[in-house]
Amino acid sequence: MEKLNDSEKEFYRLAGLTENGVDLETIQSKIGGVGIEDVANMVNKLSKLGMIEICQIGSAFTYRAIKSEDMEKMLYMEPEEALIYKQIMAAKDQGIWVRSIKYQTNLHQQIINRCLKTLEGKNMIKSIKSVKNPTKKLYMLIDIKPSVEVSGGPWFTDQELDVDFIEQLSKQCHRYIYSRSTNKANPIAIYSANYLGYPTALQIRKFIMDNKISTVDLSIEDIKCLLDILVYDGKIERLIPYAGGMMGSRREEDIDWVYRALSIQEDSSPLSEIPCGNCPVYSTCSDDGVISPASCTYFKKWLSF
Amino acid sequence: MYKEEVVLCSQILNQHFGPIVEQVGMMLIRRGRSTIPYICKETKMARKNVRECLVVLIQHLLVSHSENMENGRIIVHYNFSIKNLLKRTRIGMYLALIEERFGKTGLEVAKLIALNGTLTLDQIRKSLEKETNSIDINLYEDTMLMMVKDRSLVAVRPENMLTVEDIKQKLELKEISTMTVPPTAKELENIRSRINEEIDIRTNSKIIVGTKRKITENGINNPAKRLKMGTNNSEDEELDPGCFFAIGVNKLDVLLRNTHLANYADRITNIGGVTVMKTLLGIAEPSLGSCKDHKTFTISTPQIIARIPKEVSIENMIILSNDDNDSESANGYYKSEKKRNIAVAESVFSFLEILSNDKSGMVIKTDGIGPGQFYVNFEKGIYAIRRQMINEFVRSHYDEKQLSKIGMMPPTTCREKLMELSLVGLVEVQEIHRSADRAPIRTLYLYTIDTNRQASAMLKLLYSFTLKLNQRLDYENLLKQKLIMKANRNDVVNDNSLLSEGDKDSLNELNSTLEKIGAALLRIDSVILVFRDSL
Repeated sequence: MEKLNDSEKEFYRLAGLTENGVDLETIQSKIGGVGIEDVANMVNKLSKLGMIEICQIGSAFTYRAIKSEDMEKMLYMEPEEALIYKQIMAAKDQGIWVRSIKYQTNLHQQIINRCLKTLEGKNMIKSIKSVKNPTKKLYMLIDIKPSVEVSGGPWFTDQELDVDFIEQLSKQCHRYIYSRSTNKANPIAIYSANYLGYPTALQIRKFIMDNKISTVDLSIEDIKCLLDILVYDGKIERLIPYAGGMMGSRREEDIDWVYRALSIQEDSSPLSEIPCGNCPVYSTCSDDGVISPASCTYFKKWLSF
Repeated sequence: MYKEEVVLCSQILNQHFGPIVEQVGMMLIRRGRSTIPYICKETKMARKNVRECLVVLIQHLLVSHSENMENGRIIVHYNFSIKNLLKRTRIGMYLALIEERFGKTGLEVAKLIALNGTLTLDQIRKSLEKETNSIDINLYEDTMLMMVKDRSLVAVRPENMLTVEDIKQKLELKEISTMTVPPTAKELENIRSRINEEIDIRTNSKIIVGTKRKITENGINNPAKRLKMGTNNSEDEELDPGCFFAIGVNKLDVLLRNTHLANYADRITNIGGVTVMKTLLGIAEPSLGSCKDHKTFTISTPQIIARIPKEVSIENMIILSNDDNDSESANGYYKSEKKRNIAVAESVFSFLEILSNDKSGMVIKTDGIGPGQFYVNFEKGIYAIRRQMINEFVRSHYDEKQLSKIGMMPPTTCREKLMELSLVGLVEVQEIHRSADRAPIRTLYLYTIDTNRQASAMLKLLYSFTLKLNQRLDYENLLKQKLIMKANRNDVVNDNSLLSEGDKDSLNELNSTLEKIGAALLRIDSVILVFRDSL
């Protein structure tokens, strides 16, 4: 900073004010008495010192200030390393794929690999795997938390769906809804249509957080996701809250749905009761084939059960 | 028509009528409308045998015939009704329903008719007299009259022996013959639509055929003649001796379908809801002739309350108050009517509210004033049951642990499951290629559900399961053929000790196996009813 004159300091300050930096016209209007040549000299000097970067928005060029801590980090980097580091930094919490780095920097694959290895060794970047594309390796800055799209949100642990966690949580949700949908004194009875005690997603979330069932902070959307699964499973149903006929015409997303537990019935589909319903070789079974109902071992087991 | 359906028809014909009738029946199914010479040529059977087979099939309402003039000669064409044949697997259920409604006497009559296809009153009388010596024939006749009025037995009219297409053709010719000039295309279209309407009215007619008014000595002054239409006065009516009677499968299908609707109500409520639903359907039942009716007539809440069976304590099945400790009920609508049981009335009203609030839209409230009026929309109810059945099947057929997390599945796993479902036909896939090379990576896959196609896929699956169960049944019978023959010998039937302990054990084992397969067949048939015959 000491090496800079007043105009250059002002340039750097202006470049740090907005996220997209500052353009030539603004510089000329804000800093009095500077011509295009002066601006070009200032840009050259500042970019040489690694204090600004030049961005292109459409056909216009802007100059953006680099923060002092990032500047320090990049000070001892090779130019290729700095270039790759900048690309990774720009990707933020979404991460960037090696092929995208190559495409954006026009560097050779070997150079990119070497730089990435060096940056990883310096503990400046980390590699992660996306939930959507587990084979793709994404790079992001070491101190950035991956976005929900990349990490999969609370349902994924180490990029893998945490089935047990989901199962436990949905069980707890169902238990809570069931307790609110049945009368303890008369468990066989159901509540009338004007019952106001069925829980909403917000109440269910409060129950989970208050009882510390989940250590991960779950949003209302996450809870709705769990409840949807229970609805698909036929364990609960979604009801419009009773409002004594004062509902009017509301959009579906505006309705604060309540949830009611359904009487749990054994899945006794006549189709799955017989061996054919679950037979792995069903498609190859025929009366005169190698696999036939007469020689079927599953039938034998079922009939002797 | 599915391949499975054809094979199933062959199995049913073989099981019910034997291999010779099966041959003729299958020829008619495969080739369509045929004449006797053509059947003889195709089956390589003697004319006499073919005629006898056709008589059996006509007697059981499986074959219809039509006379057509061709080159100055009358040619008789025979046509097979697959729909009627496939319903024969349900005969056991029909008989059980008739026994439930009309007792042992009804069952005996129904058994006799099911065995012979169609019978007149005299024929039934003679057969019953032959079977039991001291028979009270009046009791049977009364039961039969009740069954005819209930439509559990129906009179077979000459037009039942003709195909709908033949009737249409005849009516069309009749209409055209009255015209002086040949009809234009528009006129022909009008004639055809009029005929279609007429046939629709005829097939869905609520008029009961097969009964007639009793002849009394002073017929002119008979006060019964002044009775209002629809008044139940069975003493003045009797069965028409000239009519042939068959089992009213359409009405019995309605009853079986209603059982499914009541079971669905159990899923969303409890036994109280089932009682209300059964009562609702019970009130509408006399007006329902077949599953073609889309809805019941409108029924008021007091009507339902009056018909709720006393033995079900419906008031204990629902909690009316929002406060769990409050024993007083919230609904005061019926409080002024002291005669009625307030708790029952309020409970019924609340159950109806819950049923009409259900997303299926099965029960619909028409009048918002007071306790309201309700009707059952069968179409919506059946669609909800179909959805539930498909869900149950999918849930148990595929890995439930995976499926339950479908909302949170990684795309690769989800794609796999969707592909499995699309192979069965329960899910449709549409491919949109984003590049000319049609590379899968650059293709969008859109998944959709078509309820009609889903129903067809389910039917195909159900037929196939029935087929496999029947094949196993035949195999089990074949394995112990000699033992069955021995057990059916007259001397063994009279003296059971002729069977060894091993034979008895084997027979018991066979019976339990057959029972198990039979029960599975009936359960699958109940699903077929929902997907094929309920709408």
